[in-house]
Amino acid sequence: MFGRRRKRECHRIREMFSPYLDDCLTSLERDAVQFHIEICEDCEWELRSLGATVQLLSRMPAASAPRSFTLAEAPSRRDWVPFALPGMKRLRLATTLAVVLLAILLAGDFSGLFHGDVIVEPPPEVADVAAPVDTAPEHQEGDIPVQQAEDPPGEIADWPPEATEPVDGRVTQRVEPGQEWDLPAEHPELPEAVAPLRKPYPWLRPLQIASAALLVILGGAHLLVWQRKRGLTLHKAS
Amino acid sequence: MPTYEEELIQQSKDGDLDSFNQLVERYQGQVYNLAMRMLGNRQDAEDATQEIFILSWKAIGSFRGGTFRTWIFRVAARFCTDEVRRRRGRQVDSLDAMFPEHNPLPSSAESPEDHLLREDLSQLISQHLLCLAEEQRLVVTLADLQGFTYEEIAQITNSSIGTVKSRLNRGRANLRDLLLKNRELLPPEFRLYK
Repeated sequence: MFGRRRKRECHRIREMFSPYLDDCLTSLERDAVQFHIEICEDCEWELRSLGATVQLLSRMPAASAPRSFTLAEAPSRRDWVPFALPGMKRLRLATTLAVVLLAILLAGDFSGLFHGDVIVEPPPEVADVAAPVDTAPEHQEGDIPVQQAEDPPGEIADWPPEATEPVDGRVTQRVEPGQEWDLPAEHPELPEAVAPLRKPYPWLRPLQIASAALLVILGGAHLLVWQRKRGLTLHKAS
Repeated sequence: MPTYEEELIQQSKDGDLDSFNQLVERYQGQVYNLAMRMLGNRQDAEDATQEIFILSWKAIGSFRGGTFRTWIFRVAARFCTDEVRRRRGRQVDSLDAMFPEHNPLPSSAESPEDHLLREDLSQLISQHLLCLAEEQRLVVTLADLQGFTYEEIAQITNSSIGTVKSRLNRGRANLRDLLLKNRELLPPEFRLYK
């Protein structure tokens, strides 16, 4: 425990060695460094060796320019591409945020975090569904919606959707295309094992599409910047 | 009241090449020195320095005040870092890379032996500087060879002062480790033992 704390302290103090050598520490920080190196031989050597390195570097002679670099004629300023475009930091930040947002939305979507239970109306009673029978009196069962008059007789016989016998613990039902319904929990024929239907929240898809579109736009902006920089590099190479 | 340098900058912005060339003459040695330390090759450093001043001429309209030295080093640092990254794929093996320094004749103040030792040491440090990561090399060069303050280095490298301190610390420590591997080539007072 003590050793770990000591290592942390050594690390903290060593981070201050360069500012210490360059005299860029406050008096309190300077005292802390001096106090530490008096009791820590490793750090004392570290500081001494860094100081020697700085001294060696200061002995390096400056490389003098071998010729004049003055410009004989003024190059055109039109093809100048700034190294640091004004909004580059913001562009990077926005791209990162868009990536993170999209990742969160997709992860929430796939994991079901952003899915909610579907609120459904209770299934119509047999008598209610049978109301349109007047328009199709030939059906004796009287529980077929109007549009099913054109359905093949074989399928009509299967209406209404009912829970059939459980097969391997699952309940199968026939649901017509476009029909949205679910058996409520209190439905007498529904076994308790059937989970309620969950659908993504309505705001999820638009938000996913918006963030993906934003990402595409920002990616395009990055591509443009990259191309301009590449153009500059090619210009330099030529 | 504007300084003479500020007047030169304003005239350069207005398209006066002679004024800009005065600025070039003032800073070309320092810029070449940075390019030399970053690229480690005399010919590349010359080409880079020329390109840096061409780019500076084109970009001088974006100079919004502050220190011109910091601004031009910002252009130079960015150019050299990009150049190092671009050339990382291909190793440069030339005599220039092995002997990067331009060796002037010894001054009358030092003996030929001292001059030779100093040149050897300079080459050793130059070679080890090139082994550092480009961010560390840049910060060490700016701080220890060019004499910039932490605040100026932060502006030049477009990073925080904390990052500058950290890179400088690591750069110096890595350079120290590399130099101590060739301890016998160092002056006796720098052959540090634990």
